Amino acid sequence: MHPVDWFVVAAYFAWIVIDGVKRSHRTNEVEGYFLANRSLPWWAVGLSVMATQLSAITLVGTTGRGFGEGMSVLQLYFGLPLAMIILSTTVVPFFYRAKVFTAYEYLERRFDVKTRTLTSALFLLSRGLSCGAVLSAPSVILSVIFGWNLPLTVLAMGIPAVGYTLVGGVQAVTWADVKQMAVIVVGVAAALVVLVLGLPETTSVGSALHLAGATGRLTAIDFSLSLEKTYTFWSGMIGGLFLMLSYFGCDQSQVQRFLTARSVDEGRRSLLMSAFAKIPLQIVVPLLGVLMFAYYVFVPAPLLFNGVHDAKVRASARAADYAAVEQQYQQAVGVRRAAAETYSAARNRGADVEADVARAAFAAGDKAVATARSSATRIVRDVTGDAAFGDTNYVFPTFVTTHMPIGMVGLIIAAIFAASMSTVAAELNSLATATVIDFYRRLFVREASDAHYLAAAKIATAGWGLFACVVALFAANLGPLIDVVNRFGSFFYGSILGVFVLALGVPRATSRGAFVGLIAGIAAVASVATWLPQIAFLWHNVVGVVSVIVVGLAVSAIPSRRHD
Amino acid sequence: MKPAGATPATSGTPATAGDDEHSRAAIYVAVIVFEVVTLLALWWFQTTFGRA
Repeated sequence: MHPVDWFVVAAYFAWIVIDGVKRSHRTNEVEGYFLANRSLPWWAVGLSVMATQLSAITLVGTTGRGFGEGMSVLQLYFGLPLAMIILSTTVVPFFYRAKVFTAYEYLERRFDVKTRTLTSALFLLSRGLSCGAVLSAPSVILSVIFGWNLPLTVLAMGIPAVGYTLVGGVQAVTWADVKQMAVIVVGVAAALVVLVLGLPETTSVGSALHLAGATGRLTAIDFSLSLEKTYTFWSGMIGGLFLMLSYFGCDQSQVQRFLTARSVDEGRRSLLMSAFAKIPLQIVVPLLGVLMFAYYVFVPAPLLFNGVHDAKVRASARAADYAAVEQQYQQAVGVRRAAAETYSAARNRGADVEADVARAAFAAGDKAVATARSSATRIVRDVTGDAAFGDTNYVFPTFVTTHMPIGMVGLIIAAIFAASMSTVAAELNSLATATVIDFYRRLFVREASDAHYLAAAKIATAGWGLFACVVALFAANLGPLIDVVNRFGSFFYGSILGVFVLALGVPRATSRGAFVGLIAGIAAVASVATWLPQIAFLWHNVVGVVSVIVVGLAVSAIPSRRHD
Repeated sequence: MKPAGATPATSGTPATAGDDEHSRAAIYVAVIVFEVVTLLALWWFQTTFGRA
């Protein structure tokens, strides 16, 4: 990286850490440290909600998916606006007025300590592991692209995030999130401008989009009823709705955001901000990938964007196979480019029939390119043993480092750091809150001073930070582990939502019903994931909610043997 | 709770719970309308630039 880019990245770190800590007030009180004394404006909380959800995995992975497959991933967010309306009318006023620190605290008031402890423990386990995955994925990618040392890259993100979270609590996290969201938006906009300006003079943005459309990459709405397709209109609207209800309404990493707002109404507004802004933002991110695809039609692109794996395969026993695939790839790329140029020229002349023929030839050429890339990926998996390897994750960082101007490279790298750190910091803060409030203060030391609990919260933040860094390093060495962690988390989302539905919406639900329902829900999701692996993961949320409610209601209807 | 047939004095207060509920309902409707418009725009985008 150029010194100017290093300067931009360093300036980003200094700005985030110094200003985040400076903006923290009255963090010597438990309420100030965990809930900012309920004093934050809705727009800051709303940006924090968005920054927490948008991790580096989303930023880098979704642009890569846009490049490889297109915009179908966008459908994941279709249920989000409706989820935000439901949460604004139910959970937000409920938790806010209940004066709770954690969502799980309410479950004890409604049911019992057992249900609270189990749900909080599930949150700690899944969120703690996911925090490691959020640190790991971008660290692996940046270390491959720049040749950086992996543990140092993990620590470069982990230490500042732990530092400002530990010192400034939720206020530092929120104000850092606001700035990080700004860095991400500016970075994405800059990349978009560079891509559009980088297209050949003869190819308009319209032509580039028509070419991408010919390959199916612009299919953003798919009305297929298949339960096996991960992203469809229905899986997004129904499964995505339950996922978003659970994530934004029952996951402490998000609940803690709106609990810091000045009032119930400001808490509502913070969520409704995402209802308006999230889908447009999520349109832009995969669209960036689609435009990268169009850009690389005219600019030479490597067979594999991961240079480390490329070198490994060339030095392996499969080198000859790889060379043959590379030859096919170069041939297909040439055919595709020629078809694209013919299409652009025909379109500029208004020769529609010729343009249609060229567009069809382009789509066929792209299929051949995709086949060559798949073969190369299979060879990498064979040689490295990394069964989860996906080369598209390396496309965006490679584009940034090889085609963006000096200064902007630093900005985008800062945006990737920002996306990762904003998620990690919010997760660490919520992990520390749940550890102290739901376990330490509830089960071990019930009466102590604020100073005592603050010390415990800081130790918990540092402890979870250390845990996340260790998980990140292990996850990096065991590629598929990240996949396992993500799947593991999806086992619980629907089930935890089901418990909150019983708590808030079913007066006759008993504590025994909720507890047994929760276990049954997790078991049902695990069974579906194990024996029906073809069912897309978004439907797991529906299975979890329905199982918990049905079993919870059935068990609640059984009269208790105790007559007290 | 406000009694039925509130006096002119009470009905003249600057912001009532009813007003708040109306403005919240308007925002929720705006969210849904915005999503429908966004989805229609996406559909137009994919059919215009997508496969012929």
